[in-house]
Amino acid sequence: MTRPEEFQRRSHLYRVCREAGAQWRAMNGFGVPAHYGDVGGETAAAARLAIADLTALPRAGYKGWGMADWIRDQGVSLPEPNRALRQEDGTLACRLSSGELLLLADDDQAALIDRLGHAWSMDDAVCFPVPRADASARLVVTGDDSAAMMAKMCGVDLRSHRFADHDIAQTSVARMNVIVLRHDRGASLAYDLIFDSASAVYLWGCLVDAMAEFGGRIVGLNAIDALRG
Amino acid sequence: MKIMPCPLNGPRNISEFSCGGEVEHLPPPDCDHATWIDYVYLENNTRGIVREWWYHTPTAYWFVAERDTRTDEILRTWPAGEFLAEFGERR
Amino acid sequence: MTPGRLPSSAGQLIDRSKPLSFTFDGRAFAGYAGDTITSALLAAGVRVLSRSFKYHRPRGTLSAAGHDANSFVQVGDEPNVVADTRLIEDGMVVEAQNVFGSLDNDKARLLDHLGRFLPVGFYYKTFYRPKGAWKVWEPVVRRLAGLGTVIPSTPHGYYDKQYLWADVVVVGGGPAGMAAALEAAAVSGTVEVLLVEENPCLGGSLTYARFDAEGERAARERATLVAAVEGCDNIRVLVGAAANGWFTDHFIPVIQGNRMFKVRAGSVVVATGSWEQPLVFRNNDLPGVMYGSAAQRLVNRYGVRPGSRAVIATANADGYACALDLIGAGVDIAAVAELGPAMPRHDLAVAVADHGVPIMPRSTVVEAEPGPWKDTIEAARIAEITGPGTTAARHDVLDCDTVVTSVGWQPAANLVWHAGGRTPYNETISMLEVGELPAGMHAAGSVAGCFRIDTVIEEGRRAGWLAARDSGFNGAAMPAVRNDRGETGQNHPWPMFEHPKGRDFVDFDEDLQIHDLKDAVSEGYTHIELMKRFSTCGMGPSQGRHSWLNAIRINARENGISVNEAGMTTQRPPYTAEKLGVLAGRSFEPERLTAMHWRHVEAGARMMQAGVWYRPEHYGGDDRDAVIDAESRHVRGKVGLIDVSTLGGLEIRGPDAADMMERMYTWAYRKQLVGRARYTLMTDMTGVITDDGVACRLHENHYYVTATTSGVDGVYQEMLFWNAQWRLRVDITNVTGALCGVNIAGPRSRAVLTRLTDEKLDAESFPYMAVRQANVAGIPCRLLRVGFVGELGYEVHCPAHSGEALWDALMEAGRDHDIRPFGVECQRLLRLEKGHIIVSQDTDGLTNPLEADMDWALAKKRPFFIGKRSIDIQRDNVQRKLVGFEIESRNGHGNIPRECHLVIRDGDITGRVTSCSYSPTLDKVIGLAYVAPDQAEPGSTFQVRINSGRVDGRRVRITPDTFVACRVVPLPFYDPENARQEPGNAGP
Repeated sequence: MTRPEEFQRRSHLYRVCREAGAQWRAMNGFGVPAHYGDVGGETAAAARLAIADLTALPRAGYKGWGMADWIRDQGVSLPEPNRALRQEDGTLACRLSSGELLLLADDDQAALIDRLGHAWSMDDAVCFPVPRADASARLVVTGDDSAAMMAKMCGVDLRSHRFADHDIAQTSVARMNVIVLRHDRGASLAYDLIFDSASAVYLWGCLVDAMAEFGGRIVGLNAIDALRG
Repeated sequence: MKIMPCPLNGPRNISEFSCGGEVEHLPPPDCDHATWIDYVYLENNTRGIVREWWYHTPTAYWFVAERDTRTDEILRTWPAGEFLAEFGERR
Repeated sequence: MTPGRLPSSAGQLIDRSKPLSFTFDGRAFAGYAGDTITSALLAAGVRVLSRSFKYHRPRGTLSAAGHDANSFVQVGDEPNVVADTRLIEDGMVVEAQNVFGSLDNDKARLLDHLGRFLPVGFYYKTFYRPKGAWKVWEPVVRRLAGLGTVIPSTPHGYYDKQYLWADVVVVGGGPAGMAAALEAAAVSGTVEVLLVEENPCLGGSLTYARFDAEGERAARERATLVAAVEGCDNIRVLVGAAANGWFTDHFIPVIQGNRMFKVRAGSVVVATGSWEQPLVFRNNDLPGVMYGSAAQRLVNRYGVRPGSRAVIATANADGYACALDLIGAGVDIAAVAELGPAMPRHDLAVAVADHGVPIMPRSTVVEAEPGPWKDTIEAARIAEITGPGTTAARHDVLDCDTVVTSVGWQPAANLVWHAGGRTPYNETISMLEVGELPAGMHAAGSVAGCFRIDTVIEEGRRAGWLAARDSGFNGAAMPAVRNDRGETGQNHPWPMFEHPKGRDFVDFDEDLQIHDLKDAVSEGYTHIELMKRFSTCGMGPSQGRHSWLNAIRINARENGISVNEAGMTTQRPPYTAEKLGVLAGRSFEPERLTAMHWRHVEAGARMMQAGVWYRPEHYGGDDRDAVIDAESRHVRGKVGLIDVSTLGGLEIRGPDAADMMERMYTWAYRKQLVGRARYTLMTDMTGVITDDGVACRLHENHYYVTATTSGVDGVYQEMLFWNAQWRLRVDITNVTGALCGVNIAGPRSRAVLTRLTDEKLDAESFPYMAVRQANVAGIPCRLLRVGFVGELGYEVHCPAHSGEALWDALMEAGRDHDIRPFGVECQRLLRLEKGHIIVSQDTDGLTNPLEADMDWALAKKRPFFIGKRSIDIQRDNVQRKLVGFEIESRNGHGNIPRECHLVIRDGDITGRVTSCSYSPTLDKVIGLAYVAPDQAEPGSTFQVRINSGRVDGRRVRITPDTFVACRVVPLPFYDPENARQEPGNAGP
């Protein structure tokens, strides 16, 4: 059976997930929580309220005065700041400011991220890689109650009729700097939280506490994939 | 809690920001002592309309806001680049 | 017939199918679901709820709405519960507070007879002499004047907070508020309306007041409005919720139970109603004296008869409405004393007269006569009014057990006041009136001075429409409002009748009588704010809601000015008492853990907080000093590993990177070689040291700079601030959390590291302060040869998610070399031996590099770096120097100087100790201290006072023995030739 310690790369949350009964699978150099022994129940819970650790999923960032020019030259379509735009290979390009881009993949097929990594070079660079894969953890909050739960931690109105799919709020969540991306999975409301990886255990604890009153659950990646359909 | 209209992020609780003080010219290196000491130690503490640097912490974003210190009303904001383009670059 | 429960049909808010039992002062009582503690006790004939603050007089309900402290009780471990509004629960344990002995037999009630020795300003006048007297009296006074008991063992409750957004927030669920909410919601289906009601159900005055002789109107309106609100999809209702303040941009904390909603509104309708005001006469605080609205609340909400025979004193129609309700409840009305010149002609008064109740115009109650135990009423004395506050000598004495007063109202305009709105006094109606309101705020109902029910509802609708418009919604035409605000609710201009023997209470919370306030003014506390503070009027739990209108009137008259000239004291949030738990909520205290955190915990580390991070202080053992000594010997003798992941990291990249470095840091970086590291020192504009670290040049256009754990966020923000103006072609990225790091140090460090990397580590290939990008254990790392702890050592920085794997690999590779982890305290000791400073430990908010003996790190020729000019100005005026010192010691960790112990010369402070420790390697006590410049030469000695007058918490006399002589020595203390940092010389 797969164990997270077999892998060189480990999410800060692997012990927390292990205590919650995670069953693991390999992905992108990590062992990731595939499920917690109840895929059907987890998938149903994910439509109501659930959280999952997506830290292992590939991501990258580019920042600098020439980011927009360079990234367009690489064939990436850029959205407006604080919006995300899905690229041909499925990667989400999240524009954090005029000069900063965050790229998120939803599975370990990260063709665009890999291609940009090879294309970039320090010589004549007008923008620079941001080490998002390690600087950040990535969690997802899914389900109908997720907006109400987020309101216990965040002062930005994230309700679905005020905060559209692929909207981004870079704000304070539980007194931490967090990038909140609305990124629905199938028909389910979902928010991805990208934030300082060293604070993952802290924020996870806040989320578990905040979702208790709604009966939220910790779920594995299989349940999130099932929502995506 | 007050709302700050951030040029990058839109209206946000003021707790997401910190103020960097009034926009001031850095004196040239060869200025006299008095000019330098005034710049370093003395705040203008203007009663009226001021232009201030503000920092949005979650995005590490500096911008300029025009504020009336009598009413605490924020009248206008600029991205740093636009402000400098409008009111002159400094080095 | 005493107070008691009415027949089964009465009481809109109680559910007689759900009986509950509770205890009050140990006695068992019964009530119904929906009863408050006050109503359930009154239903059982219990009128005395508490003893007053100062005189310990018995008190009962005054407002039945908690507008005073009379009904404060203790419920279990919760003090200061408002019995008027707290609903009873099965098994609830209620106790009287502020009582010595029992509520019925309070030993402190004798204070009432000492009243003339307890004048206004009593505390200020009595206990200030002789010096120290207050220290003696304070505990006595505090106990006598206590409010409830704090029980420290109370378990922590679970409190939290939640943001809430609404286009229109309506505060107050009475007729005006419900009408406003309905109209706002009707403007558009997308308007989000939040209706906040303090009581457990909607209705406001409709749950108790009477608007017609028949007594049908209130219930009918309530049923209609509540049904409409409940049927409206875009109105969210919060009941049992207090909107406790207004803050900028319509930010309103709404407290419901243990949760605080942080409500952000587009616009606000204030429909918070008004507070009835007391009639002031002798013994107006006896249990059984109450407002008309209190009597109506008891009858109509809870089905409780407040007494058997009542005298009513009234200046408005509300008193007659109350009389009809009391008659309906079987209360005998002895008389209505009408404070106005004649019996009113309205339907309500006529109906009262038709019941055969004598109505006595131009009359008032001037005294309530107490029963033998001073806690009941036996009769009311009524006299003719001859002028403002004066009455004829002849009294009618009417037997009664209850006195009901209806003499006026005060708007509950707290949110208006918080928002900066004004409420000037209207002399015509003797009432504060809501004047101009801040943008986006509207008022309706009795808070806005309207008491006629039809008009209240219409004004509510208009306020709701206006609020929706302010939030950007436009609908049908603005609702019309009739120009008739009614005659009920009129205030009497001077409802106060001073009695020669006093006990005519203006402020019930603070036991203040008319003459107390007059005395305050005559003693010179003429301004309303001074009178308030001297007398404490309005400073009790009810914050003046029943007292300050009369207090302002008294102040105005005593000063010979108008009420508006007297003005009003400033009102601030909160509107009503809130628990500290609610304010604290779920506390969000961010914590950062390094990737290796759990490995330290598993190895027995004692973790300490370093800013938001957790770091290993030392590993295992109860004898802290011994453990740290052992760790330091291990690093010096073999090899140690420390987690340095919390170090800040910044990437400075771009063609102008070197320029940026030279502007931000004090030293020179343009000529720094790629592949080499260099010390960095940062100062602010005043020349004060703010941070330090090392800069690794990884490419012509790329510096990787470390910063201190606590300083990196400030450094990053500062760099961005300046480059927002300089606009250099450089990008600055904070990579602190992206990288993990360890320092492997000690003579065997190279041997361990060699096992895990192909990089050549010999002295020539990898010299001191070299930087390489290399794989370690297959992990892409940045490798730095450093010497912070004074031994051969390498910092290895790797991607954060590989941090634990790196730690594991190094511990495994080092097993044969007896590698051991070491903690922050050991590192501090090792660097001290090496004479390295720690910014913010060995520097303070004023330290410049000249004082810290770091002139070597200042670029001399460059015209500019942040702080250069200020340092240059201070160059000729250095007031202190940081020096190394040692004292001979035979007792190891004995009584040695500590951080911040003072350097003293001839009785003057010349400096202080910043670091000091016993060095097991050197077997002596070493340290760093600021001293006067003329004490800084090696070989000089100075004196440090090693305690601050206390030893182990006991005060001690400072004697010459408490000074320790220290000798200045050159730095570093350990290995001045830096030989230990070289691989060839480092032993095995």
